[in-house]
Amino acid sequence: MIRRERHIATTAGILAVLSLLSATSAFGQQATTTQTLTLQVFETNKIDISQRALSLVINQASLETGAPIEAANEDGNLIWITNGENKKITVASNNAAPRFLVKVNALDISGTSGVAAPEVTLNDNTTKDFVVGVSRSWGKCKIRFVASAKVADGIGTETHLVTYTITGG
Amino acid sequence: MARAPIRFRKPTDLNKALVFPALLLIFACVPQGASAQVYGTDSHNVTVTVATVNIVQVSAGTASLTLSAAAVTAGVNLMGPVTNSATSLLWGFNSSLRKVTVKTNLAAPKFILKVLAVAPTQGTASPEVTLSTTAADFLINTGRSSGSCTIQYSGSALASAGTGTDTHTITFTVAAQ
Amino acid sequence: MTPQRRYRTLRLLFLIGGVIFVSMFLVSSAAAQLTLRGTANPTINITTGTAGGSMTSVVNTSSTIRYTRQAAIAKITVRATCPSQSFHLAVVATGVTRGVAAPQVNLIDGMLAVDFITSIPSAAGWTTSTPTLSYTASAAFSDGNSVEMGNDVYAVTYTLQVQ
Repeated sequence: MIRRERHIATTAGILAVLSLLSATSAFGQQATTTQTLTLQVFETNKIDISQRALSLVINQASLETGAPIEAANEDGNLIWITNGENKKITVASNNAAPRFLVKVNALDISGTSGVAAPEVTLNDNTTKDFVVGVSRSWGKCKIRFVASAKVADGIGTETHLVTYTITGG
Repeated sequence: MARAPIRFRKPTDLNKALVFPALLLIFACVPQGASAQVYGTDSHNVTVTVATVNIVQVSAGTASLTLSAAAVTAGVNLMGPVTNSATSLLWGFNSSLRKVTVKTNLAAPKFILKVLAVAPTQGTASPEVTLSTTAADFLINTGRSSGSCTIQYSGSALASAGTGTDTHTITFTVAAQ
Repeated sequence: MTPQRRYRTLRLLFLIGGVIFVSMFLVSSAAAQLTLRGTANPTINITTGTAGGSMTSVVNTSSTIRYTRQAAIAKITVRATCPSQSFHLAVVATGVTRGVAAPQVNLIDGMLAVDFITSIPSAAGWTTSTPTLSYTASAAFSDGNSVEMGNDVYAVTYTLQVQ
C-alpha cells in the first residue's frame, strides 16, 4: 500500500512538471490573430455644376450694323472627378432645332488633367465634346455661354436643358 | 473485640464505594453525543497553477470595403472614406502591461486604409492609424483583462490611384507595453 | 454473597470497564476514521482561456475521502488556508452513498470549517465509504498568472465529527 501510494505521488509530480512546461510554452498560443481585409475601388465619375439656371438676354443692337449684339455668361463653374482612364466631358442640349444660336466652351481648366475642346454650337440635340483628355483626376472650369441672333430670327424666348456628362473617351 | 480487615468490614459500604466509580468509568466510555467529538481528521495540499495566457481573436476572418459614387464628391481629389465596423477584436491577457498592435502585409497598397479601435470594454484605444507593414499601437493599457472592441476600418482613395482591389492580411498582435 | 465473591465481582466490573475504555480509545483513534486517498497532494493546472471571456476551469478528481461508520450520526467538514491566494478553488464530494453531499464549497484562505458531507448514518449495514473529492480550479484573466503571482497552495483539512 505504501509503495503504491508513493508511486502515485511520483507520477503525479512528473505530470505536474510536464503540465507546467507545456503551460509555459502556451504563451505563444493565439498571441496573434489575422483578418483579411479587401478594399475595392470601382470606377467612379462625378460631375457637378455651380449654376443650375442662367439667362442670356439679347436686347441691344449694333449702331453700325444694326445686328443684335451677342450676350455672354461666364458665371457658372463645372467640377468633376473620375478615377477612370481616357475620359472626356461632353455637353448636349435638349433643344433639337433652336432658332437662336448658343455656343459653349470651357475656360480656365484647373486640376490634374483635361483639355478644353473647341467652342461648340448647341444647334441640335447631339452630344459634343466639352473637355477631353480626362484620366484619373479631378478638375474645374468656367462655362462660357454666348448667345447670338440675326435680325431675321425675330424675337422670342428659347430654353435649353444643357447636360454635361463624363463618359469614356 | 478486634475489628475485622477492611475488606471484610462493612461489606455493604465497600460495594457502594466501588460500584459508583466502576459505573462512572463505563459511562464515560460510551459516546455522549457531544457536538465537539471528533472521530478523525486528515489534510492534504492542493496546488493551483495558472499558465501565462495572452490571446486575441477576431470575430470574423474577413471584412470588406467598397468605394463607390456615394462616397465621392466632385472636385475633391480624395474619394471616401467608406467605413466598416462589422467585426470585433476579443482578447484575454493574464499578464500585466500588455497592448495590441496592428499591421498589414501589403507593402505598397494602391489605396488608403486606416483602422481604429472603437468602444473598448477594457483599456484605451490608440489614435486611428494608417496601416503599414510596421506594427502600430491599436489598443493599450489592457494588461490582466478580458474584453472586446469594434474594429473600424476606413478606406479612401485618390482619384489618381485609379480603380482596383487591395487585399490586406491584417495582423493583431499581443505585445508587452 | 461472601465478601470475597463481592470483591471478585467488583474487580470483574473494573476489568470490563477498562476493556471498554481501551477499546473505545482504539476505536476513536483518528488514524483509521478518516483518510484521504488517491493523489496525495494534487496539482491543478489552468492553461487555456477564451478571448473576451474567462480562463478555462479545470476539474480534478484524483483524490478520494474514506470514512468509517460511527456510533452516532456524523458529518465531515472542510476548511482551508492559502496565504496570498490569487486564484479560486472549490470542492464538492461526488459519489456519496453514505450521507448527503453539501453544495460545492469555495475554499478561501482562513475560512471556518463548513459542512462537506452531512447525515452520515450510524445504523449498521456498512463499514466504510469512499466518495470522490472533486476540486474545481478557476481564474479570471484579471487574477494574473503563476509567473507573476505565484502558485496557490491550499492546505485543505477534512474532519469527521459528530453531527
